[in-house]
Amino acid sequence: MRLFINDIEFDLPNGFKITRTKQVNDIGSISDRQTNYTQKIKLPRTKKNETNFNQLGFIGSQSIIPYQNNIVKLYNENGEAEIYDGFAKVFKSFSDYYDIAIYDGYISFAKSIENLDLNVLDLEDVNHFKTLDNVIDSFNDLKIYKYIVADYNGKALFDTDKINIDFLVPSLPVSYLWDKIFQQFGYTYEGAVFNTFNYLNLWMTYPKGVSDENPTPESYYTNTFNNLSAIITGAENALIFHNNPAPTSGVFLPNGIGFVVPSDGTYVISSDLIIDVLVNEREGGIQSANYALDVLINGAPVGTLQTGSSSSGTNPLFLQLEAGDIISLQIFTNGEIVQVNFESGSITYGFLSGQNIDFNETFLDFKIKDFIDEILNRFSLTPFKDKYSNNIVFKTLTEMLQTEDVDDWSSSNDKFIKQNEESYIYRNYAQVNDFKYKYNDKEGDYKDGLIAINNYNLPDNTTVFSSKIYAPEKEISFELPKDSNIYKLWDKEIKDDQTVKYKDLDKRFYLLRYEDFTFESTQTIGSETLQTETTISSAPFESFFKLPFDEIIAEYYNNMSLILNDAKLINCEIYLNESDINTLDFSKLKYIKELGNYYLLNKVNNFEDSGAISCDLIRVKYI
Amino acid sequence: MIFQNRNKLPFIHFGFNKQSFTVEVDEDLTIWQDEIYNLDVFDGVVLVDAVVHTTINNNKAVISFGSVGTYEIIFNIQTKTKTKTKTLASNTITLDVV
Repeated sequence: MRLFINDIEFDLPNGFKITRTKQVNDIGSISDRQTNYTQKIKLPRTKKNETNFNQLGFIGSQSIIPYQNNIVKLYNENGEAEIYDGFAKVFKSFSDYYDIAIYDGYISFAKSIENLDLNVLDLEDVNHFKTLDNVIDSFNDLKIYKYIVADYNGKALFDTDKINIDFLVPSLPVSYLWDKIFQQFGYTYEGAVFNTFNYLNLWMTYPKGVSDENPTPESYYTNTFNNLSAIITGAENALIFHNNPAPTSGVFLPNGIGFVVPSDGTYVISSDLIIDVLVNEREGGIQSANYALDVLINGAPVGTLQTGSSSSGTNPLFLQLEAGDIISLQIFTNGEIVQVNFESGSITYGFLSGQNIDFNETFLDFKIKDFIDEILNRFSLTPFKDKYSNNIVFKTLTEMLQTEDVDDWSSSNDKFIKQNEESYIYRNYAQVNDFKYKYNDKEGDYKDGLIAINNYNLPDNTTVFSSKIYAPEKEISFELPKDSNIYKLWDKEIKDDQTVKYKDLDKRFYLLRYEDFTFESTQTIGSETLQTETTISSAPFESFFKLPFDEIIAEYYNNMSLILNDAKLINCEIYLNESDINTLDFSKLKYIKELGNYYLLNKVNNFEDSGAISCDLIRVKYI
Repeated sequence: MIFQNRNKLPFIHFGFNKQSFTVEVDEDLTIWQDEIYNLDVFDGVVLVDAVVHTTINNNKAVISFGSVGTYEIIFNIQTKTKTKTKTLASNTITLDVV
């Protein structure tokens, strides 16, 4: 055998044999779905090994070997890889050897994502500003994210019946996050479950309420009265020359009149000028006149900022503009303008960007391992990592039971030697085995599920899976045009004056689906804060279809339930050689004629050399 | 358990277990099949005279219809093995093409 750690060859003892324990998806624990191939080695402390380990075990050693990820390759005498890209842990140094363990299989993947949060993923392509355009584009499948319409316990409607995007949040496809994880960590995957409706229509919400009922526009340009002048032509209107100082964003046309907006979005124009407009009187002489300060977009009037001789501006104008649109200002009155005096105040062009949706920032609170475990447990998947590549095949128990390619481990094939014991209770289980959601109401359990085991000798109750995902509220909301579950991302606080204050919540991860819903008549949707709206005929509405854990268990845990309810775990001695170990396939059923049954292989214990090896097998009935 | 799983019948729908649906001529439509089948053992086949737009797999097919009418759709799961052939027929779902 030849052992390489971090591509450096190590000395092995003469006649070295390693002890291999192989295990997949220990059925004794639902929450621990790992294919672990572990092997313990006493590595001799030769000069070469001590040097390779940077003098580990010597006084004053600075070696970091015990603390880092050590990549392992182990080749047999035929040059075949026993372990390929596994990893090694160094536990202890003794006077004459190092005590190390080598791990292979799915655990290599688990190790690579250990302690990392979802925010390490490259999510630049889904970070965005929440604008009406982006929300509508997401409805039409033009974005990766989707604003699934639901009651998030915010102000779902404004102006009585308009859907308020200010209190919607985007969701990401679970499949997108899953793909990102595998791409980013250099793995590929396969599995029938990844083509299903239940997987492909599964979405994870942005975990935080983001809204601002009184957003402050980003100022692009402010000009005070003493930098303004009117272009007098003797007409009833006068354009305003106002290009000094330079804007922080956007540009002025060379004429100093037109401001070219830099990007699409909501622009807020406000003013509090005191202006004295003088016009010719018919009888001769001049006098102050009433006026309107109008905003023109691409030369066409779109609104009035202030009128008369009022010093305070009217309500700001909110305008939906596209990049390249030109804003200009014009004084309009009924007489021939001869003079315009700007006496005080200022005028401001601001930009309302919409709320910044940054998945990287908010996914800080969700571990990648927890996300993977969530999917494995929801679909009852077992991972099988390819020995020579980073491909992982995910299979359900159903798929393993379907294959007709069975390994015959009968004595006629020189495999079965004898049965050592038969046990009837799986460790870690109870008579009631709960799958639990998180709840905003700590006492909640209405979306939980359980596997019941009819075995009087088991403990009463245990939790086999605690999800990191929140369940929606128990109540249904009737506020939107379609009934909706409530995915609480805001808290409502009713103030003394009976107005409602919405308080953002965070770290609330929800899973949900969407179903397109067609309205009976067109529906207005918009942003109350950005003052934008449009009409739609349909929208993606939330659904919690097949997401309560009792429904998940009914769909994906029937086989597991049957096995647990008729438990027979046997330990046998099976003749195995090197070739058997190297080609061992846990996803294939084993048939033992002497016992008259088919079995799932659960564990191969301490294989050192060809011979009788202790194996744990789980009976499955052929009915 | 083994026999039950090897003979489990496919279940199809138009999403959210819907058994009937209406689409327009040439409009893409997704048929979903919920049961999980071992990809090494089984292949899915749509039994209806439609244009298949994406590679069919055991759980999804995107199809469309070139003419108006009411169509009954069945999704068969067939074993890949040459020695033993077996067909598992799904429920029937109905599509109105308008």
